[in-house]
Amino acid sequence: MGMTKPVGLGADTSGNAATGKLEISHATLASLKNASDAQVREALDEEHIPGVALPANLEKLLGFGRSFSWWPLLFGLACCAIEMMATAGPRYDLSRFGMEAMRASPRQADGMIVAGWCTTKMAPRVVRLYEQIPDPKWVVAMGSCAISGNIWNTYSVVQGIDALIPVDVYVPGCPPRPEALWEGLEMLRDKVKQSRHAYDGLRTIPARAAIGE
Amino acid sequence: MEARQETVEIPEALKVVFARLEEEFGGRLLGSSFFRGELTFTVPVEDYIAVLKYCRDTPDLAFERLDSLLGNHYPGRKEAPMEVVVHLTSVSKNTRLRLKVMLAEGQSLPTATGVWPSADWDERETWEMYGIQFDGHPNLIRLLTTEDFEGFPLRKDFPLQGTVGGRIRTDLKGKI
Ligand code: SF4
Repeated sequence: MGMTKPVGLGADTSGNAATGKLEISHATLASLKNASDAQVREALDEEHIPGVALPANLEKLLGFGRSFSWWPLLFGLACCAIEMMATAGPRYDLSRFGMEAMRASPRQADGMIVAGWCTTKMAPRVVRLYEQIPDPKWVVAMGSCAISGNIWNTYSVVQGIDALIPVDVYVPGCPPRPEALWEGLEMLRDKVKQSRHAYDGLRTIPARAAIGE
Repeated sequence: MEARQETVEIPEALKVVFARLEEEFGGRLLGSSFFRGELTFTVPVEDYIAVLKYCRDTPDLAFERLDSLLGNHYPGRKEAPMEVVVHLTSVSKNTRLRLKVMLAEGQSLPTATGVWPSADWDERETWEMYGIQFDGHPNLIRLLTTEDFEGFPLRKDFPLQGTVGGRIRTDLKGKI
């Protein structure tokens, strides 16, 4: 891959160093309409953008490094958190992948595993914690509750946390067994390696979009 | 309850509790039952605080702890659909006691926070979930639901499935 993406390192690393803008020709832009992710990347690879030779490799290197020390936020909402703890424990041993260091502060974390149902009272905190995690960040929705609200179609449970924050990987189950979470985290590692994200370049947060902020 | 075979012996300590309460409040108590080792009294609203104070302050009873205070809703009971249940524990006597108060719709109950300060949050929750008003409570505001929430979710007539508020079910404006 000869090209870096704006996500991960910030817009400055990709494109013209002087203006900080990504320079793509109109022809390329037109051809990218309705294109898939892979097609976009391919097209951008072909486009000659001056001055990005180093960050391209750097991004690859960073992604490789990050994927071996992705530190989740120490954050469990409900019963699924028990399985998350089991995954981190000695039997399934997340430390094999450098993920065992669950950070108690969002400012030191690389993302969060939302394990369990999120109540309406908790919703603002989930958004706040997500926003406090520095970029780049990834989110795993663990369990049916975090994905869709599960059986709690009630007055107090948010019907899927992707209504609040962008979600990268969904791990279904009630609760998902540690193997399932592990599988999800492997998928996440692939995304980390490729510096792919659920959020778009503008870092749109669905909860903020919903109230027009 | 007569139909059931009572196999549990009534402990001595509970017999004392029963005797003392009957002696003090006599005919005013609305009922009592002993079932599976648990003693329950139904108390009239007027005597509610007096009974609580008596349970706490009488050396023979010595109920030092208010374990929990909660609500119930019986829509079938037309005159008194609401109910407040109080569980007391005596650590020194190793006894437990349950007190029930039956309330009409919209009827309020004096707060128990003056007797046990720990009743504070329990009463807030009972008010929030059942709409039972507690007179004299220092801070009767919502505890578990958000400020924009309407209705009393643990009442039997509250819809089990809710679609209120879209997927997030609360207005996040000003909160994030
Ligand atoms: S998916 Fe199941 S185990 Fe997980 S939080 Fe929901 S109810 Fe609990």
